Amino acid sequence: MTSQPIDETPARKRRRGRAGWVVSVVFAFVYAFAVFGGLSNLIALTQQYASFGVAMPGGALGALIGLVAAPVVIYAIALWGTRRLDVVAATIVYIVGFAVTAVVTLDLQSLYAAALSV
Amino acid sequence: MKRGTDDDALSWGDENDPTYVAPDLDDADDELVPEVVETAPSDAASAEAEAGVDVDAAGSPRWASAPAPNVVASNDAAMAKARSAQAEADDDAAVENELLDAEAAAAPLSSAALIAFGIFGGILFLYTIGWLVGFLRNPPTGDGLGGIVQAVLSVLTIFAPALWFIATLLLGAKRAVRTRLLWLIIGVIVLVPWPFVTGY
Repeated sequence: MTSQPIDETPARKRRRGRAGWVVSVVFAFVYAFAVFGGLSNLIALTQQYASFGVAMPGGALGALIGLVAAPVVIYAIALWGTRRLDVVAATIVYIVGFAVTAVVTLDLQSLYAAALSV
Repeated sequence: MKRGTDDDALSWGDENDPTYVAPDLDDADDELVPEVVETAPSDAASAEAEAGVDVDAAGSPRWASAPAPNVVASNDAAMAKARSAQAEADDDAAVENELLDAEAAAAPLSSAALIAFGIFGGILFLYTIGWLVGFLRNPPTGDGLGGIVQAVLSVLTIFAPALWFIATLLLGAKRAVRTRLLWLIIGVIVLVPWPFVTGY
């Protein structure tokens, strides 16, 4: 006699579909632009300080590193937060996330400028 | 006495009873009590003796010759029935939840919630003005891909508070007012226009 548990089927949970993954990959490239901006700032300014033989203030270096890390962290949060959303809702979340990336980027640039003026 | 009534009296249970024998009204040979209306008492007795109890080929009464219920099959059937009942109950619960969600979504907001949404919307609108002023003070410069990225980010900051507010109301439409307010509070904390506040 084959005895199967009655409650063997897991609860149905919505998973990210093919369209959801396409949207995620497209927005990964969009967020990558922000990472590129942060990286170019970090590399160029570090080299500039090195060429003058001056140590960069800690706050400024932290802000530059944050410019690279912020888009990655925000994209990771958006990717995790949209795992059970449909495509339209996920797109909205990614757009808002990129807007937050812009806000954090300008905040960190402001922090960098403040760190240099001290 | 009518024939149907006799058949009813000589059968019991229903189709779910394994010993149930469906009355066959069309077959006159299967009648348990033959319908003899105008016969002498002796004839009636002999007819009854002839007909007797309904028997099968083996000579045993029909109810005794009913096949013994297959335990494995009946258990599997019971399991299948339980599974289908559970699936049905799950579907019912899902429909019920959807109905509750729809009712919650259709329910009008309380005055306090409306006022709270208005206050947070106003704060985020002020943030929009702050980001706009910051953009006008320090317009993006630079060329190449870095300059384009900087320009896009600078413009996007102006719309960020409005985007957050609209997204919270859209995506949180089916959620509790408390959840929406929590997301608006997070937005008010995250979207502060520091370049405008600090002047850098």
